[in-house]
Amino acid sequence: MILKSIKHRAYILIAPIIVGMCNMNSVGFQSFDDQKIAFQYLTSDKVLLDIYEHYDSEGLLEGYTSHIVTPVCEDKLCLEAEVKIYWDLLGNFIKFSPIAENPLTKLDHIPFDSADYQKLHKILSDKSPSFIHLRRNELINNDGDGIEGVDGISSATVAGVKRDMVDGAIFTCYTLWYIANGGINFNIQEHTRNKINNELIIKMIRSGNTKSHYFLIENIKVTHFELFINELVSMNLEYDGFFIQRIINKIPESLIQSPLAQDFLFSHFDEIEYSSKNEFLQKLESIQLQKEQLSFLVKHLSPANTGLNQLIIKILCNNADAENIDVLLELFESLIKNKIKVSGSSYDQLIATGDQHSKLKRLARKMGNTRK
Amino acid sequence: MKFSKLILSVSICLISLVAFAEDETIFLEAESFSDQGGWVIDQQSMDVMQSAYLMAHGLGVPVADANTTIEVSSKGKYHIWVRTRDWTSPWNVTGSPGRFQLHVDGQPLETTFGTEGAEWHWQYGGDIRLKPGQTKLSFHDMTGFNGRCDAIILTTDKNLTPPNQLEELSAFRRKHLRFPNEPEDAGEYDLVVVGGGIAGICSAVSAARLGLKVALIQNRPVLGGNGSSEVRVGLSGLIYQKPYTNLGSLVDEIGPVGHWKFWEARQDSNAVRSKKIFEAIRKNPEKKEHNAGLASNYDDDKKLKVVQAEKNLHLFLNTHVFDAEKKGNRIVAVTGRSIVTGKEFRFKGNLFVDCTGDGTLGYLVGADLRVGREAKSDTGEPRAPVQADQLVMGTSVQWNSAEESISSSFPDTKSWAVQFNEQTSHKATKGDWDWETGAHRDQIKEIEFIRDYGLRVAFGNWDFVKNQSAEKQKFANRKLTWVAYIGGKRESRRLLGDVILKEQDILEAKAYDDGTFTTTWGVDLHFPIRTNGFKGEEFQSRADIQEIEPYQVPYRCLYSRNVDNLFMAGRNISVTHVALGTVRVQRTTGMMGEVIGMAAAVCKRNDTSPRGVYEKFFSELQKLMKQPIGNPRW
Repeated sequence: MILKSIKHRAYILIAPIIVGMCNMNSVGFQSFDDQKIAFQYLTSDKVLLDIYEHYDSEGLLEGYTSHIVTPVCEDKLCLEAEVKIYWDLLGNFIKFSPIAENPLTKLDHIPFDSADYQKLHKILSDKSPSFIHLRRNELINNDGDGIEGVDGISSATVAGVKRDMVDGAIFTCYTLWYIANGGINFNIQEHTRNKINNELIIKMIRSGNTKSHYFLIENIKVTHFELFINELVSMNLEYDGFFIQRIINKIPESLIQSPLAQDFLFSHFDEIEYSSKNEFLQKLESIQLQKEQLSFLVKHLSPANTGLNQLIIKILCNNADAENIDVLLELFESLIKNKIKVSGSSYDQLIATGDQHSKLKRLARKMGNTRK
Repeated sequence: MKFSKLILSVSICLISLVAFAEDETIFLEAESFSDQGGWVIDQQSMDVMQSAYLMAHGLGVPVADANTTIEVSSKGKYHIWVRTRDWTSPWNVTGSPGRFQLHVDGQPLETTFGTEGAEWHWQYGGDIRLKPGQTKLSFHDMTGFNGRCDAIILTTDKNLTPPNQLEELSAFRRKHLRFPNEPEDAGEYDLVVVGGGIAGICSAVSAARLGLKVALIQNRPVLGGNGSSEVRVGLSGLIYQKPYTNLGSLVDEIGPVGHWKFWEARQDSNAVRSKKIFEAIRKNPEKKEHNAGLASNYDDDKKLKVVQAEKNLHLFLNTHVFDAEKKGNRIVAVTGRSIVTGKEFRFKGNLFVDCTGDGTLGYLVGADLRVGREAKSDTGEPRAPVQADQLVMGTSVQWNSAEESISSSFPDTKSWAVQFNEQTSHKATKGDWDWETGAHRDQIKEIEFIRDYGLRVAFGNWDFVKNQSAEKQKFANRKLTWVAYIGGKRESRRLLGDVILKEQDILEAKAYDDGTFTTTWGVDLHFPIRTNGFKGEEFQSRADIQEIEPYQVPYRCLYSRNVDNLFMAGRNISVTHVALGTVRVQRTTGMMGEVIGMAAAVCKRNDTSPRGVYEKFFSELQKLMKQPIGNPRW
């Protein structure tokens, strides 16, 4: 539903331009037939937009589109702008298509040419254009010198924003940017979040798209995490350490105990960033580990890493039972050798554990001496 | 005679033994070096480390040595320990860009420091023989890439392993620096303002002009916070808004001529104020550069002069508040530590304002607070997420460059900086507000990591653009001139008041009976941008802005709901994550400060609490808000 009617139309044949625009990227949107309305969105100019879902050839959600007809300046001197805008699954602007019978226009209602459309595409693709913190009425100098053209009227464009505008169409660029990149992105993400299912997860994992991968780990439910843990942890190999930190942050407690997750994380422990190690060790604090894993952690005690040491010691304390005596011996020896001091509560726990075994007891006493 | 000689010999031996038994240990804070050379003091992690540190921020050019002199009382072999870290080690990269040496009386120790360990720790520097008397110590930077040092120990005790756990380290530091157990008395005040950003300055000056005895405590050597030359975020938001059209006069007085004053002037070009602004811009057109401009754009001196001119206002620069005392639900004193000497000072007060941005004081006294995003089910806000989380707006590490007449080089940073290629690099000459990172991180505990990542990004991108990109010729004469080492934070803790402002209040123009200053900035939320092909953590953000009509923010957002004498101004007031998007800009936070100074005056006059002002004396505050507290002298 479009609340505002089209008042002015400049008919001109722009089919070649439309073909050019459609070739701008390879996103495989299907035809507009069989569209399903996803939600409606009210722009800051009070235009109610219908946002449609788009599907790929396999019937999976591909993105969103909307037919936009909007005023671009408050005093009605400019013609309304009419385009179709396309977004991906996460609400990122993908492209726009002009409407053949109603091209965008500039100062004196001159239709956009091909270069103007190309520039507009570049502007709409920019996430932080220079005008982002300006209101519409701050785009021009209203001091009446009229040295430059602005859409349908004359005034001086604020110098800093000129490079990010199509000459003579700053209000059009501004308005369409806010539609393409404004709050609608958030609504699209919310809609996609509710649409996540097994098929869509597989599609997003296979997309090779960084943004989709992050979106997935931030948004999928525990049940999906369980189902796709193999694929999710495998995605780490494509990224630097921050991705694995996000995975570790989001991974449900129930899954951190799974052999798959643990094997993966332990095998990549040496490669991951410090803060990921920190996050991982915190997750391990409350769970029971195997002897080999505990021994692995003891080998990572280092005089230079106080914080990680204390986490490792705490994990060992929480796993201090008769079966792990030899790992505890390793721990005590390492603490003494590396002159690593133990924080209060862990120290008491270690001393108490030492009492249960003569060699441990001896080492515990020695550790007590070095602690002073 | 023989017997007496024997007695003498035995006595000498005993004295020697006593002397040997008394090991000498000298503890030295790096930041207290008498001559810091080109090194800078970084206090941003004091809430984590309990100490500031010294850093060589030279943009790839080694900075001048920092020097100091110590008094050695006994000769002997001294073991040297330096508390430092390899600041890029957390990312598992090699290269150790923060390398530096310690020179003793001009001679470098063999050890190169800053080469190991992701965490702060004591790196052993070997031993050296020293004679009694003065010894000169110097930090010698080897790279210009942010080597850092917290402290040095020289000890004759070969068995000493310096403590690294905070509690022990703190006791060790106190003992060896011979600090008293109790902090020094720094006076008693009607109002203690913690934090000297724009909100803090305005709170303090406003209260002082209304007759209150005020302490203003700032943890940097300059005032202004994000609006200082250290961070260089221009002041945004409109002032002089209805209904209290004089609110903002103090913001106008302390704020530099810049982007928004110029814009205001153009709206009313015949006014005297406008003409003076035009003249200032004509003389110095560079002032129009809003963010990451020249240091002079941010008028640090102007703010300082305004503060120093107030006889009721006592300014304490370089002081970080880390402790507070309460009696019942009231704060009675706060304790600050010098970021230079480590000495501690106690400030007693009747009223307190948390203008720290991080909500540090509120946190210390157990004020109710929030961090991160509220769930839509909790607030009903259109832009709240379905589930609450810890996502915040990030910290900007801005930078700038200048075109010069000759070409300049930039070091190879490939082994340690963030890696870029033609697709992922930014062929930019400046890093503005959107060079923002750390949205998924703790803005207080991880601020060193967040800032350091911003540095790795800025340096890595510049290295690629200057040295490798297809467009490198365009950058041949471009020189990196400034990179912030103090991060520009947007969001940390939000302290909760009797009203927690939310998005719908603003969008639906909900009128509260205690409206005060007017917010005009759109609800501007930042989200990290992820780039295809870039494998690391996000380092840029996008702004998602919902324009608003000017909105009057209720007074009840400006005081704590559970600490009776605590006000707050700045980004840590009582708002949701989404509502923070509008009130967080600095001309708006400055107006909060003006209001708090006035409310504090009402408190004093009527012997009441911040809440009491709302309940019983709000009309008095309304009267004050009608009068200008600032004098911009246009």
